[in-house]
Amino acid sequence: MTDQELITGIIKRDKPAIEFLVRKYNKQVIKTAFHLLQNMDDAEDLAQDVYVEIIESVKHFKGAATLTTWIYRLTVNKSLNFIRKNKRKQLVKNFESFFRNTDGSRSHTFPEPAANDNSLDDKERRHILENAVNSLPENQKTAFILNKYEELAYKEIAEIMNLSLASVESLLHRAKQNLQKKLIVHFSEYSNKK
Amino acid sequence: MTNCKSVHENLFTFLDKELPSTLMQELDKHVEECAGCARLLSEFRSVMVLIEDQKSIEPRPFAETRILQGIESRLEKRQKSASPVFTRILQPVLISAGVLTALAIGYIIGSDVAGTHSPYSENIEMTETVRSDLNVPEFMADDIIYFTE
Repeated sequence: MTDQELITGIIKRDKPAIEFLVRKYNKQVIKTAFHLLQNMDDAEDLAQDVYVEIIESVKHFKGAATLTTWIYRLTVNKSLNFIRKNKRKQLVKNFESFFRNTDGSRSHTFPEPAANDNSLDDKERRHILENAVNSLPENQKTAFILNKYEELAYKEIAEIMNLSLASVESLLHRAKQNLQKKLIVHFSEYSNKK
Repeated sequence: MTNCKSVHENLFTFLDKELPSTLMQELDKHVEECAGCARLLSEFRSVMVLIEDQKSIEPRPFAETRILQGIESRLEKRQKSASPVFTRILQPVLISAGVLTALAIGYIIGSDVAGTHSPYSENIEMTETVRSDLNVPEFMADDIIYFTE
């Protein structure tokens, strides 16, 4: 099925076309959403939102970008909106838990070192990496994930994020620099705790 | 002269081998001699391995089936939530408009019928007949008597 046939099928709400769409793009949508949200349940939920959006707005798709790029863009935008909403919720939760004298920001704390171990284990290291990536500014984080996890070329990232090639290069450079700094601090703090 | 700072600033690009070859060699040499930088580089290598692992992540089993069911129910919900615009707003408006139109038509027809067969119109006709029979002159302005104090 070509992209044009797929689009025509989706506009008509043909069940086989919708099934083909999900089969073809599911891995891409789930992976991107997962890397941005760090949670598989949320990624699956968000994937449903993305497909519903595709079904309802594919008639407006003008073909300026490829269907793949357009779907990436929808996934990234929806994921970022999800994170923003969650941040607001988390802020309220933290505020409430502050007055209840409980720790509402537990998920963002630094993991305690494993006892009698001189090196970080993978779980701890993954936690540090997740926290460091999540603390990057939104656009640096998006560019980094699309480049490092999705292995997309700068040109594709530029199309998805609606930026110039130079802006993407600069974003990625800053993302790597910031990530390096944060990881060095984390790793140093971690080794000092031991 | 390569020092710890230049290693710290180029960890990712060093591991990605994106640096000029001379700088790569200098950093290599420094890491061989500096235990701290060697440890840091080793941590960063592990981070790169984690990133590699994350690349190969797959959707969970039956994710497609769950997602397709979710899409179907979301589309149904949206269709249902779209229909109340008619049932909740347009339908009452249309019914009210219909009732008002019916009332207006009834009123117009009613007043027409009343206009042609009113008992008052019959009285007027009778008065005119009596007046002409008695030959009473029309009311004149001169006949007005002004009462003044």
